[in-house]
Amino acid sequence: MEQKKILLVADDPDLSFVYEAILTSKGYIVTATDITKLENHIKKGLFNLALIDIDDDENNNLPNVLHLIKRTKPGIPVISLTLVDEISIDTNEESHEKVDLFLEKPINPDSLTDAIDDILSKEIE
Amino acid sequence: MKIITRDERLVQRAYWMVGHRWLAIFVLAAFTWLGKNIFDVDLHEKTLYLLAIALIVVNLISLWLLEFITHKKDINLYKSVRLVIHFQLICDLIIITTVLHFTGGISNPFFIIYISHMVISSILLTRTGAFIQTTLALLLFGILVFFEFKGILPHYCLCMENITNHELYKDPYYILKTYAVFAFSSYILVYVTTSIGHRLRSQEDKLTLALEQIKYNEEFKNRYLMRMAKDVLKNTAVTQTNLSFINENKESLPEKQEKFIEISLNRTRQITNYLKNILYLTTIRLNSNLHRQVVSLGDIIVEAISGQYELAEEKDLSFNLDLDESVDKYYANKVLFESIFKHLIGNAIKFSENKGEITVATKDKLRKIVIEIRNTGMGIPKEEIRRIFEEYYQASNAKVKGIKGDGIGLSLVKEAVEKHNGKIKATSRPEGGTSFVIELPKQK
Repeated sequence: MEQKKILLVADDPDLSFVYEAILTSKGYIVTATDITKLENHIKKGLFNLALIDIDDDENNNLPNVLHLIKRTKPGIPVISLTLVDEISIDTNEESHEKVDLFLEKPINPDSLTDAIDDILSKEIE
Repeated sequence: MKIITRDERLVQRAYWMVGHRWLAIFVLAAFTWLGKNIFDVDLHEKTLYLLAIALIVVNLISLWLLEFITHKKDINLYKSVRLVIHFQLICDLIIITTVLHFTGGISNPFFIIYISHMVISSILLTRTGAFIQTTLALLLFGILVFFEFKGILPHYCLCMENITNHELYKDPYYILKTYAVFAFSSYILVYVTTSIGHRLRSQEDKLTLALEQIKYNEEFKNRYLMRMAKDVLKNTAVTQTNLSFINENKESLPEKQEKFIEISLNRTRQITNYLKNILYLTTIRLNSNLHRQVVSLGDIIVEAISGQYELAEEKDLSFNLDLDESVDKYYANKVLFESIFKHLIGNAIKFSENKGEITVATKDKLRKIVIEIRNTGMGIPKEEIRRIFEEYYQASNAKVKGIKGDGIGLSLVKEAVEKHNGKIKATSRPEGGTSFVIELPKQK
């Protein structure tokens, strides 16, 4: 079976490290990046899914990352990892439209891979 | 708690005047009818009804002006509303004087009604404004009495034999004495009332300021708590994900280390859940808008049960679901609804004795959806039931039995329900069994 390519965008290097370890252990090919190098990576590579873990803080980083991904690769499914599903509480409609799935942190490794598999299988259908 | 500003207070009082004028119109019309038809008083019925209509017109204009002012931006609301109040009071005084003219002038003790307007103006206006209104009232009354005395205006008597002295309006001694006493009393009254009113207004302003400070402090506290919970949670999230990953590959670890990981993971989960509850609570409090979508109550309830089924199974608990399909769909914030049922069902499990029963029912009840979560577990003492939604409050018998909780769950549930315009109440029998009933407004 063809290995799926995941674009991992995280602003916390420790989290990026553990997500990469989880995903590679499950057989995914992972390209991990932070916000500064995202544009370069996304233009060059082909990915099946983007997994993002960016603080939805006052710097507007999350909407910017989502905008960049959707502009460069409009068809790519996006999973956003959020700290206490706060985006789902307030009315950040723009982020809702651009994200296929919000997963609440802390992430259980199995839940993460199940969610990725689920979205990728829907993409194939 | 809603803080009413000085401007809003004045607007409310202006509307209060309009409301009471409707009553005055009714009283004037009713007295005219009764006087004419029951007591056979020789009244100028048509004129009095016309004056009642004039009062209706004043009220409608006042309402329109108030609506216009309150919806207009870039306007000094306080000053504008005061002008409307002046307008209302002046119209009232003119109409009262006219009513007096047609009902006996100074010989009608009804002239005392001017006092009510002096009191109102003392409460609503500045001291100068109140004195201007009082002087105007006395001037209008004085002109009326003088003109009737001099015969410039005709005198209309109330004509009830043996009750009213019809010739009083011609008696200069009576007129001077009555008018002087009335004018003196009026100014004294206005002085006293404006003094009291000023003090009350100043107390009200201080109270408003204090409430605003409390609101600011509350918001500051929530922002601080949210920030702190978020920062700590960021770190525990990393730790928990790491521990979960190690735990999933524990076969490679020595047995003792496996136990260390398990303990650390459990404790980290507890901290995470506690921080999440704080984060939910503060997020609800700080956000006036919620993201809403159509959710299935049945799905959320079933999910909440299955997520905590392990503990229920350990206690050999049985679940009784009585869900009304017709009220299954609700337009709500999914995260908060999940949280409501997770906590209530979690509590029902936690406080149930072994082999107990938990009932979850949804019902369609007129304009409401009623959801009940009931268990057969330990009850809550009667005197403590109203405090269980307070933060960090735990029932005394739960403490005795060593049942732990983070003390935030039920506060979160209450605020989440209220955020959806619903209500929650708890009832409990001390011998056992607690029921939480949520009432939500039905949606179209």
